[in-house]
Amino acid sequence: MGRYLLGRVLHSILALWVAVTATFLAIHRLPGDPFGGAQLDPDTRRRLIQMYGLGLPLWRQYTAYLSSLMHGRLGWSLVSVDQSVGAVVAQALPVSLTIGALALLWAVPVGVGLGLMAAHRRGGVVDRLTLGIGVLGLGVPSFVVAVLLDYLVGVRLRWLPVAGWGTPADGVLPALALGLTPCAAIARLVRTQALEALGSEYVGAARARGLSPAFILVRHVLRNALLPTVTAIGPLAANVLIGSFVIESIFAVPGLGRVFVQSVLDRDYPLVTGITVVYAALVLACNLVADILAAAVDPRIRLAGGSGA
Amino acid sequence: MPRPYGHAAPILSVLLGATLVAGCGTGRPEPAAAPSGSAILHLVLAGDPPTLNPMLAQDALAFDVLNQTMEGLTREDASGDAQPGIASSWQTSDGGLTWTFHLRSARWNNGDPVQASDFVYAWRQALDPRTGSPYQGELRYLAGAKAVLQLPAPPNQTKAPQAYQSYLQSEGPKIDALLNAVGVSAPDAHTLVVHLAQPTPYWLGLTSLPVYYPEDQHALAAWAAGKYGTDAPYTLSDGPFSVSTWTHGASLDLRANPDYWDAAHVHLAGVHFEIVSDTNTVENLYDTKAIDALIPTVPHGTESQYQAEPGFQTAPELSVDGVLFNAHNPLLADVHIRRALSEAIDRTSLVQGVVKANAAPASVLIPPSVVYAQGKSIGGLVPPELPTSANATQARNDWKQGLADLHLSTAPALSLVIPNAGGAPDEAAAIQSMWQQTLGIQVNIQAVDPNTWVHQLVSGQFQQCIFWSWNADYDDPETFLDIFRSSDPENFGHWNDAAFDAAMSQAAAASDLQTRGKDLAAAEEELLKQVPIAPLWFPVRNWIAQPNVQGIEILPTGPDYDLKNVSIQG
Repeated sequence: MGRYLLGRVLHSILALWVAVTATFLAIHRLPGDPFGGAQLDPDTRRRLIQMYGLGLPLWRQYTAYLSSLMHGRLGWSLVSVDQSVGAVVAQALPVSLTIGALALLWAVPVGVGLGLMAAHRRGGVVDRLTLGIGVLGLGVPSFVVAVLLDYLVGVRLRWLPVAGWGTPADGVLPALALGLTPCAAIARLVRTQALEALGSEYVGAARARGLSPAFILVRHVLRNALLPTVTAIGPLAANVLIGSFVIESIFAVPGLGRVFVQSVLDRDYPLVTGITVVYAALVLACNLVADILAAAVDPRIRLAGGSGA
Repeated sequence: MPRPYGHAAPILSVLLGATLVAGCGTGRPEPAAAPSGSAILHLVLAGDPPTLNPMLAQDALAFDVLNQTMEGLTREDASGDAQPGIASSWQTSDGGLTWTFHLRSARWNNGDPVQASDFVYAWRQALDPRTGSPYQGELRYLAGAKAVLQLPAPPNQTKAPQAYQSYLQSEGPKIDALLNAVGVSAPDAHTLVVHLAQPTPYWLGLTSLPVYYPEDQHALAAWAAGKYGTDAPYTLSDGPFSVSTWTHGASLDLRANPDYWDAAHVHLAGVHFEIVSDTNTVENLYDTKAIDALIPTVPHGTESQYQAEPGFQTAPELSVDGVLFNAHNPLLADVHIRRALSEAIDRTSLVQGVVKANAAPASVLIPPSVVYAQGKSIGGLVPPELPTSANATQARNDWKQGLADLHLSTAPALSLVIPNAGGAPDEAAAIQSMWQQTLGIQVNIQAVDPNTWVHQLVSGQFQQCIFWSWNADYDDPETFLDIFRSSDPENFGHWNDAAFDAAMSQAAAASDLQTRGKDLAAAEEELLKQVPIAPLWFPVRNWIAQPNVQGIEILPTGPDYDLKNVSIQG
C-alpha cells in the first residue's frame, strides 16, 4: 500500500508539472498583455512591459516562475495592484468551496435516493424522473441550466436574488445549478448498481426469508450501491469545481472560477498559472483520495500496485 | 485612447446570445425610497477595480469609482466642460502658457487640508518613471515633462533586483532633478501655478482626470509603500464620497464624505457597487430592481428593449467607430483601393439595420459633439462630408483604378480583424457582404478575443483591415487627428501623408484659435480624401435609471459618470 501510494503521489506531481507548463506556455502564447487593454499609449505600454519583466525571453520567465513555485511562491497579480496570487486564492477559494459543498450536500443524498427509488420501481414515475434529470444534468451544460434557473426563479418568480453574494439566499440558485450534474451522475450510478444488486442471489435469499422490501433496499441494495458511489465522488467533486467557472460568472459569485475566467481575459499571467496550480492540485487531490479509497475497499488494486512497483 | 470592446467580459453573451433572457418586463411596484440623505444608490461594476490609486488607475472600473471619491482642480460636467473643483477659480497669462489656480479651503476625509503642494507632489509622482503610471502621458503638456517622460523605465524589481538597484543609483538623482524642473509650483497653500510647454486650449479639461488628482503626502507616508489604493483603509478622499468597505471581487461601498467642501449638495448617503461581469445578469438585476441604473450604457443589444421604458436616456459619446487600413499592405497602400472600400459601405443601412443603438452614420471623422476650437465656431470650415449611403458606381470605378495602378487583374482576399465582443461580429458580417456585393471581393473575418484585438491593433500587426474605435482623451478635434500624424506612436495604420502632417504642424503652431480651427479642418479634409480610415458611425451612450433616480451625469470623456448630484425620490 505504501508503494502504491508513493506511486500515485509521484504521478500527481508529474501531472501538476505538465498542467503548469502547458498553462504557462498557452497563456503567454496568447496575443495581448495585462496592461489595460486598449487604453495605453504605446510608449507607456513598452515601459510597463519592461518594468514587469515581460520583455525577457520566455524560457527565462518560465524558469523564474518554476523556481519561485518550488519555493512556494505563487507570485503577484499584474493587474490588481498589490494583490498576491495567494491572497486572491485565499479570498476566492473558500467561496468556491462553499458553493461546491452546498451543491454536493443536496446532490449526493438526492442522487442516491433517486437512484435507489428508480431501481426499486423500474419504469415507474421516479425512474422516468431520474431519466429526465439525467438528460438535463448530463446532457445540458450547467451554464444553460443556470441561465434558465436564474430567469425563471430570479427574474420571473422573484423568489430568490438573481445574483450576488452575502446572504444565504444568494447561495441557493448557484448550488442548485452546480449540483445538477453530480446529482444526475450519482442517480445513474446508484440505479445501475442497485438493479444489479436487486437481481442478485443474496437479495433473492433475503426476499425468501420474508424481509421487508424497505429493509432489503437499505441493508443490502444500498450498501452495495454505495461503494462505487463513494469512489466516484472524488472525480465528481473535481467536476463541481470546474463547473463553477461559468456558474460563478452568471450568479456574480466572487469565487475562484470567476477570477480565473477574468484573469485569462486580462492576461494576468501569474494569476492564470497560479489558479491553475491550485485547481490542478485540488483535482489531483480529489482523485488521489478516490484512488486511496478504492484501494482500501478493493484489495486487488493495492496488491496489483504493490507487486507491480 | 482606443475605445475598449467588451471590457465587461461578455463570455456568456457570446456563448448563449442574449435571446434566452431577453424581453423581461418590469412589473413590480416601485419600492418606497428612503428620504433624501439616507438613500443608497445601487449600481454594478463590471469587475474589481485593479487599484484605487489615481496614479496607477487606467481603466473605467477605477475611474468610475475615483470620480466619486476624488476631485481634482476641476470637475467635468455632462457637457464635458471643466467646472470648479478644488480650485474655485483660475486665470491664464503669458498667452496661455501660465495657469494660476486658486484653491478653496478643502479637506481630505482624514481632516488634513488639501494644499497646493499636494498637487505638486502628486504630479511629480505620476511623472516619475519609478511609479509606472499608465496615464503619465497626459501630463506631457507641463513644461519640462517631456524630458522626464523620455527617461528609461526601471528594470523589474523582483526579476532583476541588481539591475534595479543600479538603475536607482545611476538614474535617481537625474530623475529628481528633472522632476523638480517640471512646471508646477505652489507659492502658497492655496495657489498653484502651472507652466505649460506650449499653449494648449483644451488642457484645462484634463485637470479633472485621475492622474491630475492631488495626493495627501502625509497620509501616504504613514502607509507601507505600494499600499495606497489597494484596500478600503488605504484610500483617501477629497470628493463627494469615500470608500467605506471593499470586498475584493464582490462589492464596494461608498458613503457620503462629510469633509467634502460641497457636502451640503450631496444627497445620497452612499453608493453600493455589486461586482457583476456577466451582462445578462446585469440586465436581470436591473429588471428585478436590485440595481438602480444601467450606466454608462445598457448591455449591448438591449437598447431597443429599454428604449420604451421610463428613465431611458442617451448621452453623447466623443467617439467614432470605423475600419482602419494598414497602409503598409501593398494593396491598401493605394488610395483608390481604400477609397473604394469606404465608398462601398452603406453607412445609413449599416447603422439602421445592424449597429442600431441610436448611433449616427459617420460622414466625417470627428464626432459632431466635438466643437472646433473650444466652442468657437469657425463658420463654414467644416470639411466636406462623406456620403452616408453607398456609392456603388464610384466605388467600382475607384476599385478598378486601384487594381490598374497595382497591375492586378483581380484582388486577393481581404482580411478584417474584429473583436468577438458586443456587436462587432454582426457589424463585420454586414460590411463583408457590402464589400463582396459591390466590389466582388472575398473578405475573411478574423474574430479574436478583445485583448488579442487590441494587441493586433496597437502593435500594427493586423494585415489589412481592422475594426477601430477611438474615444476622445479630451474634448478637442486634435485627439482624433493627432493619431494620424506619420510620427505619432498611435498611428496604428502606418499612414504617411505630408499634406496632413503639414496641416497638423500648422495647427500646433497657430497663434489664435480661429487659425488653429482652420488648420485642423484642413487636416480632416485631407484625411477624408486619403481614407487611411473609413469612419462609419458615431456611437452614443444609451443608459437607463429607475424613474425615481435623478441627477446621474454621464460624462463624454475620462470617467464614465458623476454621482455627486444624484438623489432618489420616495
